[in-house]
Amino acid sequence: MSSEFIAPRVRIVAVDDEAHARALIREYLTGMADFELVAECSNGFEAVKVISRERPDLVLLDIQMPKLDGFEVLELLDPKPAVIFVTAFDEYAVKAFEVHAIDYLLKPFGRERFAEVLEHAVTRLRPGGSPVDEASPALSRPRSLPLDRILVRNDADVVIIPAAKLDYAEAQDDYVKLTVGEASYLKQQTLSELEEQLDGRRFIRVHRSYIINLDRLAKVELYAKDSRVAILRDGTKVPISRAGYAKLRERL
Amino acid sequence: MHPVLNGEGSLRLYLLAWIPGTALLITLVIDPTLQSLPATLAISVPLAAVHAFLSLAVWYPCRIAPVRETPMIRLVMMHGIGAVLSTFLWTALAAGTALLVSRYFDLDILWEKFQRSMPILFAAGMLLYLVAVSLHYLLSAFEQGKRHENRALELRVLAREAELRALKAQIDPHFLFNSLNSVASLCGPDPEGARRMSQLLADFLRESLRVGGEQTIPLSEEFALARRYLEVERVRFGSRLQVEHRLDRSIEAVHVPPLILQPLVENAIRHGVAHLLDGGQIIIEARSLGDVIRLRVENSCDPDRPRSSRKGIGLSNVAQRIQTLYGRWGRFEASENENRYVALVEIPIGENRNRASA
Repeated sequence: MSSEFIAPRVRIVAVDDEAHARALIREYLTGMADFELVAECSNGFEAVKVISRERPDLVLLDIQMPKLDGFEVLELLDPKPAVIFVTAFDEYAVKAFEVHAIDYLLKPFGRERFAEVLEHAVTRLRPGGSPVDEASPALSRPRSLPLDRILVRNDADVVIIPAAKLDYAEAQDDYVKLTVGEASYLKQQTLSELEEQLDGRRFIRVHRSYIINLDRLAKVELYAKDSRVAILRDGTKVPISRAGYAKLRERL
Repeated sequence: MHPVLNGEGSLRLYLLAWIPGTALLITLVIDPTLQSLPATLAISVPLAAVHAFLSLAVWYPCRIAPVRETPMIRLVMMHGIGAVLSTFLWTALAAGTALLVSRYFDLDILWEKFQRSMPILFAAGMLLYLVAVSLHYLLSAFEQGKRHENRALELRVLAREAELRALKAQIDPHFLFNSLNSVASLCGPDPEGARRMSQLLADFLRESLRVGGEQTIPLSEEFALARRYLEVERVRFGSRLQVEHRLDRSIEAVHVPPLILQPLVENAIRHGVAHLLDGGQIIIEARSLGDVIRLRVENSCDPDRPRSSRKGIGLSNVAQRIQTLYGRWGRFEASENENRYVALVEIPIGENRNRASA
């Protein structure tokens, strides 16, 4: 690499629901020539949209925000950006490293600590340093289970599905199709992963390709010799495998 | 279970005291001159033993009808009938025994003496029965006193613990650090605002530390504390936070436990307004409902918000303190309906206010 090469400025997106907190980051960044604040977001929805569009080098991400918290924003992003979590309370610090954040900032932070954390991030971002372990499945949160809401990206929009409202889920190649009343959503996830995250008392995997919400189950019918089908409240028929039937019987 | 039957020792002691006494009494009633003592004892000792157990059985009607909660007429009727019936049976048993014994010892004179003394024996049996009734009431009053004492002690310990926990939970670290961050952010663009913010924060902290040490404070001070808290949060949330106060001025002087309203307000922000993109409204209401005052905090909330495991530590703290301090005369309730969350507390005033802790 030639010595005349001028490194491009590091593009940053700052996400925080408090205007004052964003103003502070803006102020600190003004004095730092190597960095450029390309966008500010005041909530998680906006963050998902803006980060997907801007593809910044680095995201300063608040954790506690309305609608989507910082971890959820990260979960919804693909590819994952390099992240520095910014939070007021260090109960989240451990979790921040579990999701492979580069670093974290505890509020309130001074100019020096801010600069230090950003410089540290840059050394990891430069060629040779690996910002985040791309292949790591740990990037999809170690969030407290069972899941009480499922997040789905629908183009730029984010849909939040409270787990209780999910009728059933069906595996479709690399996706799961989530059916909620009349609507259905595709989420890039395996059915087994979803099964692990959902509350096992409420959701049962009745088939290799299906998980149903027990509350929606109306009855189980014999379909052919040795094969059964679940009839949901709205009339939907879902196949049940033999193993699935055993699980179902145990639960009911 | 009868307290006397509960331990072997206490039963032995009771029989040892009751049987000889009663036996002596019966002996003297039947045969005052003690001319045929062995035969008389053969009658009086078994009778005394039967009576001893009969008197123990009195415990059950006594338990069903506690003196203070039963009308006098019912008490008199119940124990009167009980005394007459059981003494009648007992006297009949006595007559049977006396007949057998006098036959066995061939002492017709004893049978005659017994017949003559029967009315007195009956009266004595009645009397002893009624003595047993009063002794049982005494015993239960004594035990109740002991129970109350224990309960009061327990309550005091619980109250102290809740107080401590309330204080610890009081200063929510998120609140503190976020507020400090606001101060730091304001320093650059708005030094005057930063000064004001640190002032507000200091006022709130000072005030909550002070009232946290009190047993009770006037409601007006609790209002003031909640207001201070809201002013601090106002700096953070700006126009996202809307507050409406509906306070009945006439109850401002009523004393309440400290930090009862403030946690409700804090909950309304942390689990309500903070989760809304465009913020929301908090309605704080305080009014008198005769012998209770009701504090009510209503806020807008997002029904799809994440339910954190830390949810409601402040609220459950309040609930526990109300329960400890007022028992069934106090009330705590939290409910959620679509996008409104309501938490309410009712505190007794007047004669019930110290019932539970008394």
